[in-house]
Amino acid sequence: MDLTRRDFIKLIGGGATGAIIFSACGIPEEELYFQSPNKLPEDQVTGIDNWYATLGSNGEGLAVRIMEGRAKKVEGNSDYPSNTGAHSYSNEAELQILYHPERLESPLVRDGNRGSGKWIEIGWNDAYQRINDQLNTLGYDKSRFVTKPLGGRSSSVISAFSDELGNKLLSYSFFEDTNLINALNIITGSGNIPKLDIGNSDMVLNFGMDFLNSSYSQAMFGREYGKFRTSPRGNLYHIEPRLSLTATNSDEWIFCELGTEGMIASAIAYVLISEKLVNTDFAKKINSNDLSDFMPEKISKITGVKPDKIVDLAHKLAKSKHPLIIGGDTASANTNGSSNMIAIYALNLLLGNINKEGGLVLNPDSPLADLHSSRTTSSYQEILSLIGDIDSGTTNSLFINQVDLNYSVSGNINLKSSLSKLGFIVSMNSFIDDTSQYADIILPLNTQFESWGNDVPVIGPGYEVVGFQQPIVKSRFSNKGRQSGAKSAEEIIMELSKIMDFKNKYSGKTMKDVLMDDAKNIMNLNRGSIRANDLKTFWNGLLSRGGWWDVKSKVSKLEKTKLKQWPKINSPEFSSSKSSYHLIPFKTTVSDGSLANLPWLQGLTDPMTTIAWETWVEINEQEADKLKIKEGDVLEIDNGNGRKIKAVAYPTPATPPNVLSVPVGRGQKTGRYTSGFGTNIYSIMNTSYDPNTGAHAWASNKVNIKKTKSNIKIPKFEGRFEETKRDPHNHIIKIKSSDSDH
Amino acid sequence: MKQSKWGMVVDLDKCTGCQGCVVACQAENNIPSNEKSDYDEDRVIQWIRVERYWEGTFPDVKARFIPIMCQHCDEAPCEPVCPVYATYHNSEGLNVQVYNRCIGTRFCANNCPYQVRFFNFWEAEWPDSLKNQLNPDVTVRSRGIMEKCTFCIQRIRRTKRDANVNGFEIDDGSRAINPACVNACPTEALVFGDMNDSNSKVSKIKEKESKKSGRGYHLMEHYGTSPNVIYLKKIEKNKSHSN
Repeated sequence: MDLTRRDFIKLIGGGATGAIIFSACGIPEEELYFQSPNKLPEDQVTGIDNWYATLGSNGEGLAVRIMEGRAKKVEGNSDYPSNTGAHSYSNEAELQILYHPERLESPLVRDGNRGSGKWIEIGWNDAYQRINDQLNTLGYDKSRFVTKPLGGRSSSVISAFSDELGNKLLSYSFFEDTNLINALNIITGSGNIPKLDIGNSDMVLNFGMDFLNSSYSQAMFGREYGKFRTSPRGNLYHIEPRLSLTATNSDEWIFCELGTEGMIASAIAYVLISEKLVNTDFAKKINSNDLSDFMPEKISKITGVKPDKIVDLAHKLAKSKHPLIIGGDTASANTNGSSNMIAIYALNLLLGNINKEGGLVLNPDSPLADLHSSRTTSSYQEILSLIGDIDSGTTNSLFINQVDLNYSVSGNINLKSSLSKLGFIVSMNSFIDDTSQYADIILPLNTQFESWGNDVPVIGPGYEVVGFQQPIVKSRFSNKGRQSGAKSAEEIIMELSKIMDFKNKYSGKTMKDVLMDDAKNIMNLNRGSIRANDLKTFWNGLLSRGGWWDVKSKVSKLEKTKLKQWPKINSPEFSSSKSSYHLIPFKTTVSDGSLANLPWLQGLTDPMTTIAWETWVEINEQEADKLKIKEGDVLEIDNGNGRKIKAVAYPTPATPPNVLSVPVGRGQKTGRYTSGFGTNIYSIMNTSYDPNTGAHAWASNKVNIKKTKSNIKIPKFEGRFEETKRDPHNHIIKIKSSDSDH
Repeated sequence: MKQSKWGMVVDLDKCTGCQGCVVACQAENNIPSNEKSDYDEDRVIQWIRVERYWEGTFPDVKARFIPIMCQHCDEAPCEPVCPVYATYHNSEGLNVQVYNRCIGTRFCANNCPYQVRFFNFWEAEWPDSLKNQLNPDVTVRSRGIMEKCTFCIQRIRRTKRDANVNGFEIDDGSRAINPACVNACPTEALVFGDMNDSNSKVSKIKEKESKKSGRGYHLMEHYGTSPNVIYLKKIEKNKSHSN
């Protein structure tokens, strides 16, 4: 007789229930122990797990659970000073990089035309020899190295190699931070980004920095925000031309026109000085007449912010005990971004909150002279200059380390054409992406969890920290033999340096040797979180805690600001004066596209729209009504310069009428989890740079839209369930006054 | 040892809607990746979801967030309707799902007002290499089975076992016993602990915030479900000026 699963369980369940009723006349107090004797995994403790400390790709301290040699779960390292136990979801998803089905297992050499996708596996010695031969033929000095932003000793090793080739190492990110670093350098006189002490501030005025979605460390900023919202609760005012995640979590979002943030900051400075609300040394140097162009009434029309709002903000800042003014992202991403950023951070000088609790807390230099927090980027102008060199033939070979240039540079640069002019391209990557697709040789990389490294946090906690990263699992392809499998980027560069007979101090070494030298030098300081008499004990301490730090090593005071007078504020310039909408790109769950091949993050919904797997255009609800655009309508976005793409409309109440917000990160052509999902927004960008710093003006695009005849169902979570009902007598979110309101 | 009663506090003033809890839950509990087709077919599984509400219109507009997971109700409406006792209340106050009893009637999901129960319409699939990341402490649910948040019961079991074997007390707020979402929350908006321990953080918050002047409330408490998740209302300052 056929017994179905359902019948079987009914029989078993019925019999067991009867037994229980007979034996106890009711339900036993403990639990209902009448299931089949096979206990669930949840009820059993199987195997022994260990947690190992290491670092994530963004420099956060992590603890990773290992069972039987496999990484199972990532959490924050509660000891590590910058993220104190929290972790960003990008680090959680590192597991999927480690075990990704498309990881490269051995070096590949191109077989066929560039971009044909045909590859032959070769051994490591063969790969090194081919690279050496090609560089000898084409000339070392004609080769360049472009990498993703790197930190700690990785940066030193790869910089040394690039120096030896005769050229400066370039690091690329579309959302580069040149203007932020330049402004902070001018204001604080230090090359280190200070700690933005949000947690201890009672009022934060934020010009556009989407710090809750930060690529530096979401966890670090999350911890700060949590502390900020703990009693006594601080107030956050956010000025930005779009409602970002940080804007929506502020106490008040103040819309401003794009690129006018510096004017608003100057108007606040005008009020502070003209009403004599501040009395700092810097305030004494500024005459309110110098700022009279920025009187709140004069700039109101251009900025879109009412004069009484500016006066109110200035008064609140003056009353605040621990005010903090920060800025970034859209405020820094226009052709006048550098002047905006200097004016914004200069408000901190005016209020005298530098190196004070709740203000900009200065970070000391690294304890090791040549180990820097260098996870910063090259300016966009430097990248444009590289492409010019390729086109002119000055550069004819290129090393590319884990950066998908071909996907993520603006569409006004014809990178594909430039790549085709190169004599030789080496790509270092764990996967084939839209750039390595055009390489001549691909060198497969180990992932973060299989490699050695160290790091100085880009934004430190206000004292010295050096994080240490260890391989917490064996290299996944180590069973393929010495000539095959993957290696870390540093290991490859050190081995290649030896073969090319380079004489830099890392040539022929292993990364572990280099790190142990660092450990020895830190141990010799004889201070900080770990002290030991011998290197072995010190090394074990370093690895088990995930790094070394010295909470006493603080910067005593602000030495010298380089800012002598209030900065001149320039006007922003946009890509097209004829187009109607500002196109503001932003990062969502898949970041700038570097995480798009991870299914966890592709399938994770954007917090504001709840959309996954797709590229959408956020358009103002009323504006959409006017244009008869409905959710899911496919729009053609035209940059006015001949390039057009299609993306689906998502009308929202949060978008200003003159703005279209579009997430980047999807629309790659290569990869199982990327190809066919969404649209490449970078491809229609027509971006320029700030002439003062060369920084990328990635928010300077203007576009037009046209509705097409198609409409598609947007993959989103919203509407999956009926919204949880709001009881009028007990609102789910009840608004009440804050005790700490000024 | 005193019997524990597990509960959670969700502070909406600290929740930024970042989705860190969602990924952590997915990683800890072997929840398959939500493919595009899952969204198209309304078959997405998220044991904890962050609901978003719009308030207002431009320029006075905000998105608000509420993380919603199984509320582990004392009077759980999902429990009495299960014909095979696959869902029941255990002695620690947890609403437990026994996968190998479940026959997939979906009565429990129909009866849950919080809509936090998910039915496996398909067999969960991972590429072979990604199976390496699966948590051996958690069942991989098969097709036809109902699943939901367990407050990471496997962590509770393991930590209690370790405490018994090694003779230590489990600290309130221990990261070993916290559900994955709690440890992942960067702003510490989620707090987990023993409601039977009057000194635990959750008990203290409950005592303080359950008063009339407090911010605490239960989601849809008018249903009489007596949830073990307490929400703390969002705080918003009074606006003195409008822009």
